Amino acid sequence: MALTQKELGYISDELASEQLIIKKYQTAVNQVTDPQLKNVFQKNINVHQNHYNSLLNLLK
Amino acid sequence: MARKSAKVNTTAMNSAAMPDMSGGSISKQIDSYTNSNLRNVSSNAAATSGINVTGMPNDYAPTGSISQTIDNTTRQNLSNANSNGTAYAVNEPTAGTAQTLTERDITADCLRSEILLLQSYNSACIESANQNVFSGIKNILNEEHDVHYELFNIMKQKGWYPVSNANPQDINNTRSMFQV
Repeated sequence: MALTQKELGYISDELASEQLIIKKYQTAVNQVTDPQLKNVFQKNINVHQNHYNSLLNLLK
Repeated sequence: MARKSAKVNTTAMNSAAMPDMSGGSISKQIDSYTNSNLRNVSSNAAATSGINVTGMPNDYAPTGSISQTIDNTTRQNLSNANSNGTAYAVNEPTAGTAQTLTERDITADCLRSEILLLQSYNSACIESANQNVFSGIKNILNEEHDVHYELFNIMKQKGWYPVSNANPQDINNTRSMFQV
């Protein structure tokens, strides 16, 4: 079944959101000194990068 | 981000599905209704000089002037409330001095973003029609929940996100209310 218009709309919005949140975490990881926060922020960059790739795969 | 996307979707929905809701159509309806009532009054009660003399022109269509006035007042009140509301903020901004985000602010900002993202993924999941889109989004949604929960727990653990326990008596009351 082809992608519906609504799905495309959501996927495009989510891709933009993921991009933005990755940038946010990249900024955040350099701003904090707490190792626990640094750790979780770094981990979340990777999680969101994976989500970004999964979304992109839905467009193939 | 997620807030913006929700806004875009709403606009799209309004223009596509409910074009009549945009603009001042409702207030226009009300106005023309009021208008016809006023005309009835003026024709029935000849003694009411003010309405009778001037009447309402038939083409009187203020396109929502009344609701516009109300909207402006509400907007004014809301902006007042917002400017007053800053007094409740945890880190009250002081004019003139440069504000820096604390580690707590940064973490809270990330948590907030995760929540908004989660909510939009939930909508996306509900509205997906394709099996692979549905399961793909649901997987992301599931992992997002874990990310959010971990971040929330860190904040709670640091005392940045205080939660208070429910009163045991209230729990008992609720249980007895629903117990058959």
